[in-house]
Amino acid sequence: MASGDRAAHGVEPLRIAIDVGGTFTDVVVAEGDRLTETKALTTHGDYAAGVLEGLRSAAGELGTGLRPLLERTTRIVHGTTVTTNALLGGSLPRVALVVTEGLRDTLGMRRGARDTPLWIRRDPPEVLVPRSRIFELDGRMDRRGQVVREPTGERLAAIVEAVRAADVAVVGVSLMFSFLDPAHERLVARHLTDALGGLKVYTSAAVLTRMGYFERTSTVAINAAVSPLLEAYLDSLGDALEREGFGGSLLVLQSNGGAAPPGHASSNGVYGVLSGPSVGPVAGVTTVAAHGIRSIISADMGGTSFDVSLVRDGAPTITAESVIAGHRIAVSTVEIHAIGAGGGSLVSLDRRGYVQVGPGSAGSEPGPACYARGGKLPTVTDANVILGHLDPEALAIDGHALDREAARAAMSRAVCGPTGMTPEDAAHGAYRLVNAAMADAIREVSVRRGHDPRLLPLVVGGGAGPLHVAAIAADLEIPLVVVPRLGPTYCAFGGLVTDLRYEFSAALTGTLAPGATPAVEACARDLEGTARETLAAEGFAGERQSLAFTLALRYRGQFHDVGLDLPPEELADLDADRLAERFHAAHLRQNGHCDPRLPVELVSLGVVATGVLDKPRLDVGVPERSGTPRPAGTRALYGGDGFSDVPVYDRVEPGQRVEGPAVVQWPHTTILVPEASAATAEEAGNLCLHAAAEALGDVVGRLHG
Amino acid sequence: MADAPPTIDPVDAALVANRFEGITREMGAILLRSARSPVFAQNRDFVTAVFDAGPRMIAQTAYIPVLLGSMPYAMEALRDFAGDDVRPGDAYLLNDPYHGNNHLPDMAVAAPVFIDGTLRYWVATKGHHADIGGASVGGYNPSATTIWEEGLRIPPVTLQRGGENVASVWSLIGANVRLPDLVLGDLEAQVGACAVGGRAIAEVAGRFGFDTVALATEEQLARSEAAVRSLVEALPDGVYSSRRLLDWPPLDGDDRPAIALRLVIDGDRIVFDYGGSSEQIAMYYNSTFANTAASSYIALLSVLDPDIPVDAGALAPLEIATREATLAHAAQPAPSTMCTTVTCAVVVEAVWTALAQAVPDLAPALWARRGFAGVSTGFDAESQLPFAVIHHFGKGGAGATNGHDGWHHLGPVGSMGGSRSPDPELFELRSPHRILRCELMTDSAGPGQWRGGAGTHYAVEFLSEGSAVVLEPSGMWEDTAPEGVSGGRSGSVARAWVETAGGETIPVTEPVIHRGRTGDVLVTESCGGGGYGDPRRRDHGRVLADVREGIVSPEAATAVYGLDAGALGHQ
Repeated sequence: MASGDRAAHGVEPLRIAIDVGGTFTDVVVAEGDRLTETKALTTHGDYAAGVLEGLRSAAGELGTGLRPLLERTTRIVHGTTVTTNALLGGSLPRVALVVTEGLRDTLGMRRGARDTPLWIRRDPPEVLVPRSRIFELDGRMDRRGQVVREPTGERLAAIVEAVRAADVAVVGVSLMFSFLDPAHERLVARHLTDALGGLKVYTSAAVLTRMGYFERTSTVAINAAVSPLLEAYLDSLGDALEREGFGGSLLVLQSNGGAAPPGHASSNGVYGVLSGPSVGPVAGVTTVAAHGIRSIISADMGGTSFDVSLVRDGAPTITAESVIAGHRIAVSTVEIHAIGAGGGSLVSLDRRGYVQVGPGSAGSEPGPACYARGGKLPTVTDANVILGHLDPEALAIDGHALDREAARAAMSRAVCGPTGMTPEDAAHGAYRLVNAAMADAIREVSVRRGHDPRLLPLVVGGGAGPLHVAAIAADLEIPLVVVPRLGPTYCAFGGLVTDLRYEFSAALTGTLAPGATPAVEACARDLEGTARETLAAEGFAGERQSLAFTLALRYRGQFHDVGLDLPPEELADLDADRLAERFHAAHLRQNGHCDPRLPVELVSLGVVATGVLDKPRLDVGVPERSGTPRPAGTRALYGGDGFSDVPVYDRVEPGQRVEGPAVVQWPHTTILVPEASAATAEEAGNLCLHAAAEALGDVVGRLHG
Repeated sequence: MADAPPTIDPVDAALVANRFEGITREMGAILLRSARSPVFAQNRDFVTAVFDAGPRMIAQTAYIPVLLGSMPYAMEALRDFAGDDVRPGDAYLLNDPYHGNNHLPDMAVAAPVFIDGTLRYWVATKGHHADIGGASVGGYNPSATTIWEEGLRIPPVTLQRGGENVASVWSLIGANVRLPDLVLGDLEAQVGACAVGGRAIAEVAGRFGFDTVALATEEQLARSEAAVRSLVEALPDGVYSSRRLLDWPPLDGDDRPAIALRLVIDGDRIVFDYGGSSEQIAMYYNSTFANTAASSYIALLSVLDPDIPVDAGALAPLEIATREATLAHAAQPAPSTMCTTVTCAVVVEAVWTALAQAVPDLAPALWARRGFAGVSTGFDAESQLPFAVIHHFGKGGAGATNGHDGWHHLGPVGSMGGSRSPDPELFELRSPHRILRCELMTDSAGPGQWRGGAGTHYAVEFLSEGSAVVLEPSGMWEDTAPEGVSGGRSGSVARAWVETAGGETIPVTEPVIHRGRTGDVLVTESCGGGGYGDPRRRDHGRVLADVREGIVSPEAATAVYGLDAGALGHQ
């Protein structure tokens, strides 16, 4: 199914991606290679309604109705914040946990740490599962996965009764060293499901094959809490879509940047907590792929945050170290460094009297002062309105133009009174400071990890990003900024260009030595079998299956491991010495040192199984057309010394170039082209910002070298 | 008429200030990435800082609180040592507790930054090393009576000259520590972090121009000082006294060593006068001047404004007065390694107790000092490998504040939750121990309208013969357990014992290195945090929830919190 996007009714089939964000629900429709994007307001409380509204408005854009649109659609890829929002303070279902005796506080103790030590006046965090619903098994395993004590029948029976009395629909089971042998976890699960019909039981080793008792316990607890929510939501959305004529496949975006079928996604809900934002980097790298560029910095600036990720060699950086809404989630997740700098971030004075941006946000309610919906505090959006960056008329909300005077009044109250600055100077200061904070966020994922941003293009999505990105790039000497044509619907666009992506892994033990390789090879065969079966069951065969193995190793006694990519052809005949050499080299590259004398420990083997989906073809390239477009008008921008008029362009045809200072006004975003910069449009409609002294082709060429 | 002093746009000044702070984080990232010992990389026990030529501290990032504001003292000692003969590519080192350092395991490295050929800045890092030699377990030796039994003492020395390592210094250090690869590797990481910081500063100076950056720094330091002065000014003037005791050792009579504080608030000045503290002792608790100062800073700033950037300006209004050769100011030959956890906590307690008299609404109830069990070392019979691990599982509770319950299982006070415990599986994998229990204790939390956090019952079995563990009593007396404030009650008293394989129970009452036999079980119970306000004013719903969750017993709910038994019956 997923692989075969068959034409129905003899017309071009449609593929659709939908990303539900905090404020907007973004929809992108691909009709062959033609892409159409729309935005609808997110409907909190009933997300499915907003999704249908978004689809309806997309249908309108294409001159058709919802039903004919869905009848032609073979695939919908969906990014949803249902689980994220529930973790961020929505209501979660009641969960019970079964854990190893003596360790029932592992989850609540959060390893005895908190992230803001000096904040002594702060409430302790809400626990995901209270102590009164955490039950202890008397069985125990040791560090080799050997049984120290078998669970007793009495204790198992007592746990069943306790769970029955706790009145829960879901249970997580997490036992010490279950990643080495899950037998006791399975035993508990069997007792519970046999005795209590309808109960859902999740075991930690089935969710995550990884050392770390706190990490696994936290991950399985969150999985137990969010999976039922996701399942209910996907069921209702699937039904609604079906009622409106959809007969294709629905896929759900996962935190790892891939997609998964609804059944898989909803029984592994913890894998989708970053559904949506996770495909931003995929969108970014796809945008420049046809230039032959495979490493980028991806940035996405929306209403509340600025999200940055690094993509190396075509693949987003993956981490297992995520903390989302205060909860530790140890599954593979696209690494996103987020700072509280969005259009809604508040501008204020810190205790020293310096202008500061964030960390507070006006959110979508009441929103910036210029929205005139009750917001009295100035925000980054207000600063951009005051500075002339945003056109109050072009950005009318519900027919009301943005209120520039309200923005100036808010800035006056919060900043100008105490400092004596004019609203324009205060706004300009806020603009420079937020740009510097965003540049610092980019340093975090590049410079501070040993990557030089001067060699990486910056691809920017989100409605607010293109107002700031040229200034950020100048600060960091980033030579090329790309605003994708679908930048305003960045993550929905990412959903259209990503693939199915499953992960399977198994724990390994022992030292990396010639005698150990047969066990690794056998493990690889098992994983490959599981991976290929799973892909085949979803309709992916032959060329549409792609497997990538990673062997995790570390020095004995170390805490962090290093992953080595294993090409499939190498798997049948592993060479321990060669692997050790590669490990030492990788350790040196990542950590700055290595020690070939030390023994190397096997940690785990993982496989990423990709089911390759059809994607729209993105024409990239700069046609030979040249010249400068005709400005649609002018706008007065404040640049520190006063206002000056700059040309505004509402269309830049492929091949055309605009010299800064200028403004390019797209329907859902505004792009600032500063002095000494130029913007060149390429075939796919993306706008590339670069130094005016250079031609785009030369800049791209330099990034290859 | 004199020229008006040059001024700087406040936005430029803020941009430069933020960038300097970013540079200290860049230096920290280098340390996290390239450091080799778990104390650096996992516990993040280090600080990075930028100074001007003064040297006045312009920016810092303290990855755990007790190092906040501790860098300037070591920096001054290093600058004085370097004198006028400083060249690009130099790096200087010290760990001497009597030369501005916290304690021996912390090594401070500083390097100069030249702009257009003139020495304009210093970049510095300080962090806790895996070993520092001496007769210690993981750096700690409860039987040391002088510094010479604690480890290698390094006065200010030249570590690098014109970009070249001073080989004799490196080999001298390498020859005196048990883990030379880790220690020298982490020193390399510190020098590397300084180099990166230096380059970043040169870039900032190049972009804004040195004169602008220098003006920005003046502006920043002046504003930071004014901000802290206005916070201090808002505190009621007065002299507030407090005295907090160590758990050990017993002195003549029934007395134990004390940190005594006279906190003088006078307008926008605040003086921490520790002159009345006990004479220094022949045991590792003596607090170095830098440690006493840093502990005072975190105690005050956590109450006033935890977000205020810490620079020379912010610290200027905080005056630290000590008398040499006392518990608050170690002088040669006093040992001091335990001062960054235990004595730091005692200093913090003294400050919070004094502040509770001045601003009862803002000051917290006291926290548990630290857990009993510290570092463990030995030989793992099964893996045939030596091991070294930290038992952080016995953490105590945090104190309550007005409006907030204390956090369970946090601390020690010096890190305020900044250092994580190991994972139970990782701990058992890395060392021959089995954790039998690590659980919050019912009725350990100090009762109050806002109750303290609960302490921990920790039981661990030794699976290998002869494993050594440093046991450090903390909060085992009524007068050292965490006190409540504003009518809140104290948290529980700590205790510990060993259940030997032979069936004996041996209480632990003094600091000791315990060498376990296979099958021995060590049990520790840490203090709960103190409570805030009268427990009878606690919301009944919260009391019932605590009873349901096993934090408060039904008996205490009625006897201490004043619930009637009927309410409990409907649970």
